[in-house]
Amino acid sequence: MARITVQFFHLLDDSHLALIPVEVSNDRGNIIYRQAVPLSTNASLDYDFEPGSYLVRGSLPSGEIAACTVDLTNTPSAVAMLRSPTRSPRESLSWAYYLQRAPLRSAAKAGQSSAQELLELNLKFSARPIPPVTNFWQHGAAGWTQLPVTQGVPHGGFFTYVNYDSSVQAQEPDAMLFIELNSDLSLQYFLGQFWIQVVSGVHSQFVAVPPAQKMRIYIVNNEPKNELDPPFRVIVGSGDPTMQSLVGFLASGDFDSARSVGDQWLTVAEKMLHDKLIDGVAAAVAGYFLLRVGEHSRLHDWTRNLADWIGWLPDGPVIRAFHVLSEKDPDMKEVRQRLLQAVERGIPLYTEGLRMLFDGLNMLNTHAGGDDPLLQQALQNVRSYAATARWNSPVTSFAAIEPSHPQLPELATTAYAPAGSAVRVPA
Amino acid sequence: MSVVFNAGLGAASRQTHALVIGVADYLHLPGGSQYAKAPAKNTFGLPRLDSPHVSAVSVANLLRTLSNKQAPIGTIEVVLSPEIYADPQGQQCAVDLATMNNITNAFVAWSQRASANPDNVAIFFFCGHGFEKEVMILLPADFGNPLVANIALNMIDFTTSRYNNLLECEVKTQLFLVDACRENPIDLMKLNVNPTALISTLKSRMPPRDSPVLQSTNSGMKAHGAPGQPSYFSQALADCFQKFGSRGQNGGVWEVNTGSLSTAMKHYMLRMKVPGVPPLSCDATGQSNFDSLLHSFAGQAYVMSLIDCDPQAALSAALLSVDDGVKAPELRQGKPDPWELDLPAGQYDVSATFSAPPYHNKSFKQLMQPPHTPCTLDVQ
Repeated sequence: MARITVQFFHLLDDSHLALIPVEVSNDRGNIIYRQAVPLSTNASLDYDFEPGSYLVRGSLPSGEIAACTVDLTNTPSAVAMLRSPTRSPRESLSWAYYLQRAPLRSAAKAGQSSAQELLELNLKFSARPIPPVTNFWQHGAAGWTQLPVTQGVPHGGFFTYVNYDSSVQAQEPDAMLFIELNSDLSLQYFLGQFWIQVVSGVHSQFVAVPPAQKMRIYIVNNEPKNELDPPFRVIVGSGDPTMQSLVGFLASGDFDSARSVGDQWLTVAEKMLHDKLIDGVAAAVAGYFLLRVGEHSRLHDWTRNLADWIGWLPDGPVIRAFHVLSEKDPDMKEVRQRLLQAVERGIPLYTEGLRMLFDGLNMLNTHAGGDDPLLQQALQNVRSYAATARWNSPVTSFAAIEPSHPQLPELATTAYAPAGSAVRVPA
Repeated sequence: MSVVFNAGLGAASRQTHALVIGVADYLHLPGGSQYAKAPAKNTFGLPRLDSPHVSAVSVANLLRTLSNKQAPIGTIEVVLSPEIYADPQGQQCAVDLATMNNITNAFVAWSQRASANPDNVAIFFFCGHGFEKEVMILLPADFGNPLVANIALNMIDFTTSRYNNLLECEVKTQLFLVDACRENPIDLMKLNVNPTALISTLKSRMPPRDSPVLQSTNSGMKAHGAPGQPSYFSQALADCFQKFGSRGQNGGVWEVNTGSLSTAMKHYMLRMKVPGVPPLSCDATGQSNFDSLLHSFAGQAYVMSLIDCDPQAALSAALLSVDDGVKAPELRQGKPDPWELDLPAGQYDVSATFSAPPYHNKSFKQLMQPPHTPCTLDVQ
């Protein structure tokens, strides 16, 4: 009998804490063992293997698979070194390349046979990429307000550290800007619904930044495929690394991996939720996960607490409403009240929540035969965000110049979006 | 009703029910068979299509070959425009034209058939025009009929149709395959109407479901197919069901389930490189509370392998070799990209050799298992 230890080859930031599912198959293709392991070094698989050759594969939230063959014929142990096909250009960006749907590296694109065609497409829709500018916004009871976020270690305010870093361009030509924001738990609560606006030419995109102790935003060049496709892509990393990997798996439709990772993480999340919902965003992710994988029984009553106690979070009432809908005899009055409550608070920070909010309101409005003015108004409000949403983004993202009036740039009355208040990204 | 395959299993016995829709002839759009006498008032710039008919027929015929001991293929209903179906032997028959009315009827009938046993498998496939706004919109053959004042009556709200079916239909496994564009035309944004769901429900309780949605492109993007050929998505489906889509063996057969099909489709479409077409992709969404078996096959499974070097710059100087010890090795000489190679599942000697420094020759044994096995040779 022999043991396998799994190592992830690449250097990592706090992503080493993230869990990924690893499966081991023998030389006949039978999958004989699966386990969620942290990306940190030397994760030991809890299984005694017969002598033989084994394929060890880890699924990354980026959608990529890292694989290694180990031979346990004459040895009591072996190390499976997993390498990601796409490599992060720097350690501090590993969350974006391994825990999110991976941006294609410039080096990889350069070798593609279709690179020239891509270039031609890019030229067709955007003659020359305009360097983006960024603004930060909050949304709350007072509506949408801009929040100046300046470089450095601010005294007061919501952040303990702010860094706008355009040096990433030296390592990855397609990188535009990396922003790192640190906060702490008490400040997060007051930060509430936090959004970044990225503007380039006629394109203006609002992207949710769920408040966490560490919030990271990576803006990369995007080759537009049509006139509505912005010339940039905004990747947001927020919160606990395993939570991020769970969001990544769910967003990429890898439900099997999400279930595998989520089972372990849930034990932690459930405890967290019972413990007075310390981290509302983590609780929301746990809620979305449980709903998505059908573990309704594990939602218990804490969805009510999530909705009631974290008053700034629109995702809470959405999760509560769908938890109620999963019950045997759903209390439709509560479902209606929760969905309206969510709209009153704002737009869910996760795309999953926006999808559920729209679908839920749509269903209730149909059942009401259009005779419920409040529901109709709420649906109309959410519809305008949903119509301009980028459904592939894990966090909510919509097109707008003014965040209260989502619209695609071609329908805007002004020719160009307003300039941002933050530092302009060097070309 | 256009059920082109019926295994004659008892209605309540566990089986797979499929609904396949392909719309090439958009009657009222330019190139459509009724365009000359009854053109759409607003065509949204959309023409008649070539690929969806042949795509839908190929998918219907592919589904006939599914082998699933748990839920053998029971029925396949096909709705097409033009309304001619050809079975694998080339035998043609008329089926229902893919109008809004006929698609609605077929959807409801499919949903009811599937509902007869909660452990059935229900498969939905659509190929034709699509948009994405706040919901995914699919267009039937009579889209733009000038006699229908409300254009949205002939626009399918796929998102709500699926959502309602998850509630209304008792079947736990519902796989949705959507081969259509997901762009959001400006004219559509201005259109102040809502598309129509194919099924309604008064139920509100959402039970556990395995219901992935595989789409032929990412949000906001076009789907592609070569004229007169099955679309790239349909080709990918065929190869993933028959060769690449299994996730391991069970009792000597390779099993394709909802999760492994999804993984295989995503990798397969990323590897499809078509001259003149932007990079392809398959988007997997929906929900899945468990995995469901779709198909199993004996014999040879195939693997999408990826041979790479670290550092990648070494690829340009490397002679890469993949040798199963039986046939002549597969070789590739000096190119900058990682080597994408489809191989029978098995064990291989993988090597990189260099004629000069600075890189070092490297060789190791690698097991290749479906759907995807990458390996990197450390040649530093």
